Amino acid sequence: MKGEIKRGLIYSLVALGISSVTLQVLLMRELLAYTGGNELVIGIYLSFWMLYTGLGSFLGRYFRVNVEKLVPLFQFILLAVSVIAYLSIPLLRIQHGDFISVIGVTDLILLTLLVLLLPCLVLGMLFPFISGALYEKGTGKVSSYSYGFEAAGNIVGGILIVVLLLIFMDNRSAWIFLIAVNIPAIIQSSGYLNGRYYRLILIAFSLGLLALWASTDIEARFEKRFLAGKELLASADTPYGRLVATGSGEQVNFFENSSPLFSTGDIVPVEEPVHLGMSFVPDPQNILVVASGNPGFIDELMKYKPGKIDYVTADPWAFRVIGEVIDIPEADVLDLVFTDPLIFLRDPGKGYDVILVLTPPPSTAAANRYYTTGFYDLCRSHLEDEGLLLTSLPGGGNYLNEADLQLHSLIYSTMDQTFSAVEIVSLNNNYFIAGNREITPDLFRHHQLLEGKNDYYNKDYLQPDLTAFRSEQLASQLDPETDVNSTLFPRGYYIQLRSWLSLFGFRMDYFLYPFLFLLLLFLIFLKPVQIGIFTGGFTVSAMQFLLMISFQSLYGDIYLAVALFIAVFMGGLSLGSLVFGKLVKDVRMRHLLLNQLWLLVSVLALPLMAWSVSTSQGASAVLVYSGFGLLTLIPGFLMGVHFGLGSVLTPGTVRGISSGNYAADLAGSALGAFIVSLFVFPLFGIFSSSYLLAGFNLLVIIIMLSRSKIVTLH
Amino acid sequence: MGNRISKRDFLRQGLTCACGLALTGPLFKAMAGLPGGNGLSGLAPPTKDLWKWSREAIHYISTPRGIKCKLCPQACDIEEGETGDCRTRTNVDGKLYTIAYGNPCAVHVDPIEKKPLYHFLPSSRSYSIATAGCNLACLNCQNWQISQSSPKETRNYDLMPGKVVEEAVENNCKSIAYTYSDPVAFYEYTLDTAKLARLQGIKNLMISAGYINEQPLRELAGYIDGANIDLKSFNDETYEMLNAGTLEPILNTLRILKEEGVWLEITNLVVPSWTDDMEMIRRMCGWLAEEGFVDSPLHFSRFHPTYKLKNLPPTPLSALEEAAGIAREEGINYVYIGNVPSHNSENTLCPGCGKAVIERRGFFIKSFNIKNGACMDCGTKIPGVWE
Repeated sequence: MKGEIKRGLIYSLVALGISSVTLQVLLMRELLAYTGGNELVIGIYLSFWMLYTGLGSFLGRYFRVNVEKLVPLFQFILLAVSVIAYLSIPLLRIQHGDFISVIGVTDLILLTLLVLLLPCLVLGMLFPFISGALYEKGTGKVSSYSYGFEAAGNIVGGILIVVLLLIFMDNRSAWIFLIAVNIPAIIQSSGYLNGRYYRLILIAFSLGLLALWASTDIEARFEKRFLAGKELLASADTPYGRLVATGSGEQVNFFENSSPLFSTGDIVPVEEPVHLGMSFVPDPQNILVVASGNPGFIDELMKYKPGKIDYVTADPWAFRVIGEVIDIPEADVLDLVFTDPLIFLRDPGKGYDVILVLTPPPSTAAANRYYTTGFYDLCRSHLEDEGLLLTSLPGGGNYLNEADLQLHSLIYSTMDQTFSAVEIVSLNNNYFIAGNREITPDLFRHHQLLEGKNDYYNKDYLQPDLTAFRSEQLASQLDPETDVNSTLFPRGYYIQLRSWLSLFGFRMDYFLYPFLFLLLLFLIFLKPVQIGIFTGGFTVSAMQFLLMISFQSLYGDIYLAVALFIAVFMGGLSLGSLVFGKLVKDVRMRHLLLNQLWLLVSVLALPLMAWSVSTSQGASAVLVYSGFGLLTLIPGFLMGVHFGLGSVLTPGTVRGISSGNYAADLAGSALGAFIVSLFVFPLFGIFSSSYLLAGFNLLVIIIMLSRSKIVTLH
Repeated sequence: MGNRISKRDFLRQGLTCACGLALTGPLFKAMAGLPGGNGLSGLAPPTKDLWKWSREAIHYISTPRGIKCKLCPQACDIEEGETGDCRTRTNVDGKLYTIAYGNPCAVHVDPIEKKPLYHFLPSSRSYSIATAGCNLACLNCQNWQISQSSPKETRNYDLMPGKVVEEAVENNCKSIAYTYSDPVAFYEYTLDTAKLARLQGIKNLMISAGYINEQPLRELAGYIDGANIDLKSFNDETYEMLNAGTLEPILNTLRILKEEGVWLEITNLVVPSWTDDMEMIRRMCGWLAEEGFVDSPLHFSRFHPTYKLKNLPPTPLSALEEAAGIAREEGINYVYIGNVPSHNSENTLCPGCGKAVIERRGFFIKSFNIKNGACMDCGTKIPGVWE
């Protein structure tokens, strides 16, 4: 093979890796944005991604023609179908009318199933094509080199896309990058082709795609359509999700990840929490607000002529978008803080008389961060002796179902652990007021000060006797013995997740058993080496999901960090598959078994690290990030070694080994991500899911050991 | 080939794996109950057995296909052991039973304006009850935790009809409101309670979507003093997609309540993207005027994101004001805007002289200028139940 062509194919493999991670991040962000930031989408998404890519890889082996000639064509097809897949998300939702009702879990699964089909199949096929063209007469060992080159591309792609998104903060630049990376790959790999026109056509079409993205803001065009005639006022991608401002009549609406943040002119959600919170303190001077960026709170607080208002948003980027559209009040006493609230609170600082936590309910792991013991402990350290904290949950109106009651009990217990007194007031929302002193409700303590200034929070609308009746009724139903909500036991999120699943009639038992049956089939019919690779894939993808959820519970910006996770994981994978030959000279089955055991140990390290983080509140971010990095890198490395060992232990041609083992790996990864995210995690949480995963690895080791007696090993 | 598996080995491996996986079921259940687990409650469907709060239902017939419920236009064919769409009516041994009788899950005392009823004993309080279940399935239901559940799934009070009336008297309530979910779903309980309440001089209020057949409605209307019917849209397709109902039966309910002399107010929730088409609102108001509902107060209510429509913003005030303007243009005399505190549309204006005959702010009456059912300034009759 000519050196130039070989270099071209190696670049193609790296470009494939870059494309894979970039596309993965772009599509996942798009789906997250349309599903209210519900992190469950990560698991469903990873599983279908792996499944389709595995299937593509498996099908790739059946192409009997000269695969090297297919490479440039499929590289172009990959670009084309990726663009179609990306744009089909808003298109399908417009078609289906989903933009006017919340998307359910079945729709989410179907949407993911449909959107990922073509790009992942093509991605999967390209891997055996390129590695086959590159090492047509190689052995299993060189198959793992291909794996390494592709993974190297993943790392480069992961890092570049994070940098790109941090700088430009939009998906459009990431698309231009994706297409631009592939054009040289098409040019290089088409060196195989004899027909000049064919080559020129492919290159021309690719350049056309690039020009299309560069010249038109396609996303904005879709967004306008998506808003069904409403005016798009502003939009931006932030590390926490997609922010959009729309206008309907005189009203301006702000959305984050398709969920409403707030609307102007809607006074009840603004007046109620502010004046209720202030009513518990005789002379509130220093106030901290942790909220979604609604400037309406500031106007209400200014009625008290306070000495200081610190306003921190759950998404520090929110004010930038909000400020583009509506006026944010300015005052000497007001300090808008552009930092994550948890980071802000970790700095020892002044004492507040009132802390108002007006964040969305814990329906995502990110939002759950503001309802945990860790968060309340931080708040308490910033409260004056007589100070109080107020937070709320959406009221159930006239009745709370079991899930909501459980959530209310959970938040009550969590606050009760930190504060000596917790009081509940049931109004439009249900409020929890906590402090380290006796709390006596007096809804209209500042009545004289507010006379005639409030539209809603006054004696005309709120009747203290009826409020007291409802509040007592609610308090009497709570279970104070409920477990608490913490960062790494995000029980609030679990409850909300299960509630969401049941809202759409999702019966776990109907879905779980077919998947367990599928798992059984794989364990019976795969050869021992492939069982090892399958289980490895299962374990690391499930771990990836659990790690991302843990990270999200701590920091809340997975929308950006997802690319880093993938890059670090792929780094480990690449390293493992490239160096395994140096670690093990004479590869035997027992090496695979030993490596499986190391995977098991790495799974157990996850709860250990989680425990360390949760017990060392205030540990430096560098340390925590390093912990997450290592826990992402090590399983990746072990999986790379696993794949390498498996490739050597599998007889056959490079293309056969690549596609067969790659397919087993990805099938395991798909099942791992799907079963763990949709069934195991919502039921057991992060810690118990890790134990179950370790148990599964142990079971597989036993099966492999027992099978090793009946197979001939090298 | 050394790596081929014999039949015996296949069976052995299969059994090993199967046993391992079979253990996962009980293991799941066991671990879910451990600290840190989240429990498995809610996975099992509720049982359909009868209980203390069951009564034989009225308005059903036996057909060769089983029981057909004749209470509402859903006309459910309910097979043995099954339950109707409303989740409250079940077929046991060939008879239809309601399982929503004397077991409300929501019991509150509310200002009557909250229902909303603006022309019915203003400023009074209403003893409000609801059992679980509803014959519609609105995507925007504010009380979905009640309406989209079975009484077997909710935490219920034990409150038989006699006790409801006692409690209403004790709490100084002038009326009992059958509300929150829909009294059609707990029809027998509503009917029996209403009969007892009437004997005690307590008024009965039906706060409903009005999705009910003529015969049961006429029977109930004999004991109902006031009603607020939620006319959710004026389009059959929207009704089907948003509420799982149809329009015509509700229009029929309005006509029947009027004929039966029940004080009637109508609510229209303006949901962005669903029911905010002003042309549709004009057709609705035109129909109301044509059918003689010009004196039935019409409340345009602001939507807030809830249940399966959490991704929509609240209704813009301008949309509500436009709808109210259309209603007035079409000849509706009493038009209000709801869920917008301090809006001037809370007041009742005299259609004769245009003065405020009732000045409201929230649940309080600031001034009341009606005497003997007429405007104190110009004598125009102001329809309603004032005493």
